Amino acid sequence: MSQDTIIPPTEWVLARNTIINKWMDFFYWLIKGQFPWRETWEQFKLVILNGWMTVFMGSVVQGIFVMWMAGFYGDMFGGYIWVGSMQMSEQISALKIMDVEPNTYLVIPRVIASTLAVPLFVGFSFGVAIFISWIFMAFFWDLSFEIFFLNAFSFIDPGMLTNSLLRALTIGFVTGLNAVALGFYPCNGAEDLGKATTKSMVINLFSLLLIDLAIGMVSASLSMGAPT
Amino acid sequence: MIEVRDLWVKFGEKEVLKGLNLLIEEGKTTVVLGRSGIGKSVTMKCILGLIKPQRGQIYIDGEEFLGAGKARQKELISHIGMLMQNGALFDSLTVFDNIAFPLRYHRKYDEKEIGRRVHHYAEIVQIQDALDMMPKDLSGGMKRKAALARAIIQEPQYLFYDEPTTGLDPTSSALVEIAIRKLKDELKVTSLVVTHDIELVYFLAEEVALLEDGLILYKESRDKALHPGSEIYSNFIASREKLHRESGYV
Repeated sequence: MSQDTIIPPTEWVLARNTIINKWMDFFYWLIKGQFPWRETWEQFKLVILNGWMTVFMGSVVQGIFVMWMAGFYGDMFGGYIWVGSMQMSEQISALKIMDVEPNTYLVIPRVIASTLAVPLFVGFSFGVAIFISWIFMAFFWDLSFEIFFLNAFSFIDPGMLTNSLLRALTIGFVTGLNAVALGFYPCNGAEDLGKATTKSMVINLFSLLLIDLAIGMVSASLSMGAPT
Repeated sequence: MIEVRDLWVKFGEKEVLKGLNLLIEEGKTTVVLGRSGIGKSVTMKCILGLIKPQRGQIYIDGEEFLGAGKARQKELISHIGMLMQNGALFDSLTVFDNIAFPLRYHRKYDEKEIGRRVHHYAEIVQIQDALDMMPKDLSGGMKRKAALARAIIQEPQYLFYDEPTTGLDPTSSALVEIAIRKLKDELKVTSLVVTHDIELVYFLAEEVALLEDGLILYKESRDKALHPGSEIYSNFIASREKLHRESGYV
């Protein structure tokens, strides 16, 4: 093979480069750009409205929540932004013509919305799980509401709450940013869009494991309570 | 005045523009005609700096655009507004917020002044009754008119229209055409329209150019272009009729 031969990047290398570029863009434009509060609020509402039912189910059937988190943002954010689509490329062009940096309008609001939504989803999920546990206890063992809840909440301490909040915020931020970044993955058709969404899910599942490991190690070294 | 000289654009192996020259005269509406996928939108996007050509010069008000620095390029295209093919409205914002978007983003005016301007331009394009609606609730024609109001709210000197009536029914097309004509008459903007819709030539054009094989093959005044026997008429306007005849079905 001659030295001049250009080896096309594999799909995963392309996906990695797209993510790295968008992570860098995010911080650059977060610092430099004007903050689009209105769009952030709209995206936050969309995430909550689209996600609460699945979170409800996830709190009943363990494991769904994590899988859902990994795929949900990829589908919602990546699928919307996907630059190959006529509508989106027109919107990006329109933003540029209006001298609005597309990153500040498309990336930042979605990442902040996902970062803020995940702790709410986790809180909601815990609440539903505890409430459904009480219903079962009350039905089968006739356990009173007061005794169940006093005992349930006696296990919670500030360290555990901090740990959970930190995990939820980090997971929301990383999965949101990865999904949005892969929305900029170059696609040429519905098949490519499917591939990009799958990549987003795989990368986010892997990210969840890493985040869990990293925060688990940090909290263990700081002797923070680990959530069960 | 905008002048495009010797513009070359290539996507991969495909050469789209091959030394295109075009003059958009001050105060006039120039319509660029051409078949789908021939490079009409690409030409427009090059002028706006959205696509970087391989070669060529673009002069906006006498100043070379492609060679200018980024800040200067932004300044030069700030005088240009554009209506996208599908409107490109933001789904999460109401029509009012969509129209107000550029003013709010650049913090040019206070909310009272923004409201006044939005209502003024919405009235010009006849969209004032839909200001509280969401884009998904609008018809295709209404969406384009809302996008038109957003394009003119910064009072550009030039307005570009990318296939403004494509995909619209005849009534909606006529309403969009009237809105464009009204803008031309009231705001005296210089317009560039790229389309394959002949009706637009009849209703809007002052200058007509025919894009074919990566070049502007002919550029004629409206009256000349619409005259049977002219180059544009026989090469484009009458081509449908000619093909029908040649097929033997007519």
